[in-house]
Amino acid sequence: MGIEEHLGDNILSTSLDKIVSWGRKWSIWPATFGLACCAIEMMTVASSRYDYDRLGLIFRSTPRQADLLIVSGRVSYKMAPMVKRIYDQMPNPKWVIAMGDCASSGGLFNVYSIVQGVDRIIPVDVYVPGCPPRPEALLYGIVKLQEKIEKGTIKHEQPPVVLK
Amino acid sequence: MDSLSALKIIKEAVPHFILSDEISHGEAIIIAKREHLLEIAGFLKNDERLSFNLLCDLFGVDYPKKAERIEVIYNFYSVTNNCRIFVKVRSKMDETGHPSLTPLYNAANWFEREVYDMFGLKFQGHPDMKRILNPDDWDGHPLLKDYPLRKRPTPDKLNYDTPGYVELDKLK
Repeated sequence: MGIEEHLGDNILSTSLDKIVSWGRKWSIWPATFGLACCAIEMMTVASSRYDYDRLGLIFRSTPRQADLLIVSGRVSYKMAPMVKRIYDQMPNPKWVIAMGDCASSGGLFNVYSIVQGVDRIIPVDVYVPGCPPRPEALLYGIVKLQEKIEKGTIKHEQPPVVLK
Repeated sequence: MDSLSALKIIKEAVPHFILSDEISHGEAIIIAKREHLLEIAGFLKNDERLSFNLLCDLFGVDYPKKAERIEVIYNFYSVTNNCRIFVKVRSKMDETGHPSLTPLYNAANWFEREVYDMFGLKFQGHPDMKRILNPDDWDGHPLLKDYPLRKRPTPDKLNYDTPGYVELDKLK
């Protein structure tokens, strides 16, 4: 973020790491973006029965306010440029969950029109298996992502670009 | 009226348009020449006894060993009489004279674009003959039997800035 360069490698910067990671962990905002049947399960996770608001996740209606892209469904070659563009529009730091077999590996669609895993076009942090995964499985994937974010550091992060 | 009596009426009225006919699972099928397709469809639609006023579906089948390898199957339905009839027409892949049914049935517009996308058969007289399911810059026609099952574009060569963009004039 640019601050740690002034602080140096000491207890201050590691404490700052913990605070920032803690903040990020409890305020993952996913982009409202669904591709196929997995999106139905993703909506269920947001409903009152599973209620992922309690983990600090709130669907944002624009990728420019989002930290997390849940790729929920098979990505066709026609859709791939749009998925990539949504990912590119999200500000750093950003994470990606490949939800379901199709987004992870192509799944049963081993055919001409489907990208064999969304990791061929964008980097993926957590893969959630299932066809489609149950809402609990997606919640578990989100918890795993939180664990990953918790261990993160703000070192080596690019400072935000200031437009003049 | 059922399909069989509809077939009887058609055979009596326009026998010269029909190459052959068959009954399969209680449904009547007419095999016709593509030169007569517009006339047959016009007769099916406008004849007062038949009034096949709905084009339910239109799809292609690929028979790679035959010279006229693309078979287009038209599924007409009469809402007034509650009966259905199928018309089969054969064409070569690069056939230019396969007529479009768009002047008669607006429903044919997207169906014919799908057949073009999947089989590469261009319909004569179609107002907007371009792909409908695959991106416009797609290579080949995927439902042909000789299209490799797992032929895919490489993801890094996709056009990310202007997806699917091609000069439509260059396609024709």
